[in-house]
Amino acid sequence: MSTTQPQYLRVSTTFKRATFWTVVLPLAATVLIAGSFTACHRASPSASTGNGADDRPWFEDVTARSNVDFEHTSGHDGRYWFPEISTGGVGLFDYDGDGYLDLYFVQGGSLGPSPTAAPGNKLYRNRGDWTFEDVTEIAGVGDAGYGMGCTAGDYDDDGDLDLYVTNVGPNVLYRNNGDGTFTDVTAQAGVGDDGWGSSCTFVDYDRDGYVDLFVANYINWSRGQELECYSRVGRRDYCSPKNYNASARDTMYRNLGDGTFEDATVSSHLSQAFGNGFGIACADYNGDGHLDFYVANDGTANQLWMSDGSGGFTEEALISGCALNHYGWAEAGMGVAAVDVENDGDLDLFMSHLHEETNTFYLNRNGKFEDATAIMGLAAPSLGFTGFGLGFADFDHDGSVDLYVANGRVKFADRQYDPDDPYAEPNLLFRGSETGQFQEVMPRGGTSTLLAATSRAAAFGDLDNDGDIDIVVANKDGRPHLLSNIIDSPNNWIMFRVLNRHGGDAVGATVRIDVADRIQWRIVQRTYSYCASNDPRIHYGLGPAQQVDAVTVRWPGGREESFGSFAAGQIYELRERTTQ
Amino acid sequence: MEIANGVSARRSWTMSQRDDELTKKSRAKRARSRTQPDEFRRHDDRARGSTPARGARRPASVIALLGVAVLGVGGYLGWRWLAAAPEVVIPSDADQLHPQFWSYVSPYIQRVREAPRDADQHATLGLVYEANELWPEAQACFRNAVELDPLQPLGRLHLAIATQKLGDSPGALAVLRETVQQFPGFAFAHHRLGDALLETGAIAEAESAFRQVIEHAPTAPEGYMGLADVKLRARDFVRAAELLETALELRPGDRSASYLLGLAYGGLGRRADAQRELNRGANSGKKYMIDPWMRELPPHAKGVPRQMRRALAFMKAGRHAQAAQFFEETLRWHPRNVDVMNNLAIVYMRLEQPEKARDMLLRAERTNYDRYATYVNLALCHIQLGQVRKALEYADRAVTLAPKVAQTHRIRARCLLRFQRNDDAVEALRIAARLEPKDSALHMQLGNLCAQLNRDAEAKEHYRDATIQAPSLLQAHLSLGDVCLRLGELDEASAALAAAQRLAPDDPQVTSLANRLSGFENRR
Repeated sequence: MSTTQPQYLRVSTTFKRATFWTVVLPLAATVLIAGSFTACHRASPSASTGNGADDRPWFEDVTARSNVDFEHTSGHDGRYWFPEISTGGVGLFDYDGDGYLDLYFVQGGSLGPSPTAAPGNKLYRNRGDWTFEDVTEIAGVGDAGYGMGCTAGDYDDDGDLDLYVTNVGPNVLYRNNGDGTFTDVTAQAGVGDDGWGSSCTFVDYDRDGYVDLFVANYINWSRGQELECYSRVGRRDYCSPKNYNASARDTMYRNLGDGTFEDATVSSHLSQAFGNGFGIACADYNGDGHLDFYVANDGTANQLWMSDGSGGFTEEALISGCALNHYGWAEAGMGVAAVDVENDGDLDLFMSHLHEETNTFYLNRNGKFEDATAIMGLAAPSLGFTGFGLGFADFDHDGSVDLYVANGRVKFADRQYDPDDPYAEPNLLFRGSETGQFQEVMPRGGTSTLLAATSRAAAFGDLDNDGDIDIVVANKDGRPHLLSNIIDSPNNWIMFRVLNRHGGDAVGATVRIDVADRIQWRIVQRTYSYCASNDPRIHYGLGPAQQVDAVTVRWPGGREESFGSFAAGQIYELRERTTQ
Repeated sequence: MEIANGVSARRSWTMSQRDDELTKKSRAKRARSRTQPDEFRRHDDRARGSTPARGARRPASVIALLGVAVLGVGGYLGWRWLAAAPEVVIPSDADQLHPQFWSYVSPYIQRVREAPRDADQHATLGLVYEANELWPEAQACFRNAVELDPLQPLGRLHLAIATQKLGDSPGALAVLRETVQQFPGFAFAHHRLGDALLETGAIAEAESAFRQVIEHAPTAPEGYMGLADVKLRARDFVRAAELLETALELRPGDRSASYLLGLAYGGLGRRADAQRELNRGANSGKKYMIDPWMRELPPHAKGVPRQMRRALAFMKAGRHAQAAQFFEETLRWHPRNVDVMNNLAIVYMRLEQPEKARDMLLRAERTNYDRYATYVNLALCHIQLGQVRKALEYADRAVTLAPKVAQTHRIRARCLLRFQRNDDAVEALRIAARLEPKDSALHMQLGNLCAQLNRDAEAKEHYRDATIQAPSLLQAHLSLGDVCLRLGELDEASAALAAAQRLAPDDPQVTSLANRLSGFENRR
């Protein structure tokens, strides 16, 4: 031991007999007499967390009786192709306009050099009673690419929802024919990005009245780039994206209004930064009336693309404080959501990450983001899990948004929740409070039986139009979980479908409600979570309030419009007026 | 059969080697313990929470009490001696462990079996598990070590680390609280405690823990950084910045401190300072105080990723022979690992042994024929061997396998240049630049090539891209100035010169460019 070492380092690594006899003995005797010697040797068992008195489940898994027979397959054949570990997307969208959200599951497939016939994606029509009908074949949307995610939007402005699917390989755009069928128009539209697409979103970023398409790309991968990776003790396992060092750039397709798109990646300056893109949250983060994009990257710095209002973007994540975590580390960004937890009118960000990294909550303070994860009670509970899909919603209608995080590992870990699936983990449900803090809900994940799976996408929406938010979780190499909200809450709720002057969902609009003495803000968004397309209707829990006193919409572009008061317990439509 | 025999023979050889090493280490450890300086012992005693001697005169009652105590402790020790020793911790899924790890850990397990009441042996085994991130096993070993040697604070610290790694934050907190209570001068535990408390949002208690770190380890920047972290969360940016500046004085260049300082400056509205510090600290991550046991971890890490990292570190340091040894050893245990083969081949190339490199790469190709990296390296190797046609064939194969990887196009360009297919080479580099637009070296390479081919207008574009991507790259500004001069674009040449003068006003190349520019202007 060097004598020049700082004094605080001088702690013996060996047991010293002399010290024992001169110091320990009297101490030991005293402790012995006190009768509590051995108690101090062992770590205390972990205290249980949870919501204490009320341990009723919030959700019921209704998959078994739903007729949804989709079973995801990653095609794992022992070779650990990298895309296998992240596949599993899901979309909720009303393809037939009957008022109920239908289900679209994105399938993995097979990645080997001679892939077997891939089973393809599936579309299920919602009958409205928690049963579904497989309409994939009739609809013609069973793309058999190695799938990741999807989004819905009316790109051709004909009043029905079209569908875009991302793949490891060429993506696919399905035009809705309006009669329950779709046509693959990828080639005509020019949107068949052949990278490894993940989350994607239709949004009118240049406010020309046509929805454009933003596609997050993960890494530049091909079978020839595959690597061999091993767990810490030499067991074959999936690699980390960092091993490939092949970050991709995201793609912006600008809608030309004639059924075609142009690749605006370079002209919008998105080509200036690369990353391992997984999650997208599109919103106006600085309140200038223009829509910005936040991209959660896996193991590389996240990107905050701030719009300049004329079709260009500048990347400002680092200076804004949301590129890296509080300690300057590029975490493994998977899912992301923009949410106003404080109800102060600006949007905060929440991201899911790898185990041993916390999921991270960035509070927006005048355009600067501050890592407030720990203060909000979300740090320690997430350390042991790898989060993917996520969403905020007021599941229990108490007036504060709650949080659901779908988990599933990407590497072998010591503790196994499912002997047949080493990557399986339970999902987590957190109850929000007026103070902005969250507490984990027990039973874990909000279901009476612990559901452990390798969960990926989670999509959120009111599937039975009963006024509460349900969840659909896509699981890698397994069946999905359809979680029906069963909270028997005495509280009230209200929902709005917010439409722009073209009749499409006004993605990016923010809606403020005044109820009793509180204000609540929501944003109209389809794309958040991970590789998911969600219910764009906005939902509020009202507590005991019987009505909303005032509703104000801030449309993309910054114009505000007031809509008066509304009685609780119904779903309303708010349409942008064409006159100023 | 042949391979199995080989493995078995190697394993027994390694085990005996390891036994020798362990014996030596143990002897050395005991010797260190005997020769510990007085100062060290004093500090140890303080850390262990002992009280100073009260003087020579003791009342009879105290002596009696001590007698009772001796009897009590004697009885306890007797009981402990008769009681079962802690169980030897063996991984629950031992059958799934890689033979290399198993071979490494076995002697350590054996030593615990031989001395089941030796806290050091349990702790050392715990460190082997910790280094390989077998956290349940590490936790159990440290628990045993703590039970056998309750006065060793490092055992408790590592028990807390393992507990935390297993996701049991409350459990880890309990161990840490108990540790700092029992060893109030033990800065490492205070630091871990502060960090764990921050994660639970217990800001006030965390502040107190970090203050303890500063008190007991005033020359360690981690205490100041921890306290600054607390201040940042409380939005006290002024105090946070002060503390972080102190941390940076103690450890200049610490990137974690820089990142936090960037956040503090950002909070104070000092945008330019914030940007500078955030850039300096980007990708730094959370740092813990390195305790003496943590220093022992690296050699125990036997997973392929860790070993690769160590070998790559040797390569980076130019110690290629050592890197080769490391890769060769790893390859013996992982004979089908193509990445190890590729890296070993690169090392051979750097050691000017292209034939060995080629053999290794051909082995990699036989193992996995569709790995682009193998073909990139085969192309490089054949360039080194002077077999350019073969090199181009391999480069073409690499491009086919990984058309979106810039590296494949770059190696192809290199081969094409050997054949003087300059236009094709430029095209290949252009593709690479599209794939990696941030790579200033690539833009410079393209610019230089275009300039050589008298394609000055194109060269200008690439040099300009290089200056955008690397504004502090002097050569990019000089080359841009040069090419602009040749094109007669004096305004842009002047701008490039001005940028170069800002970077290096006294550089002779800058002076030369300035002279040429002024000569050009005079001629006009």
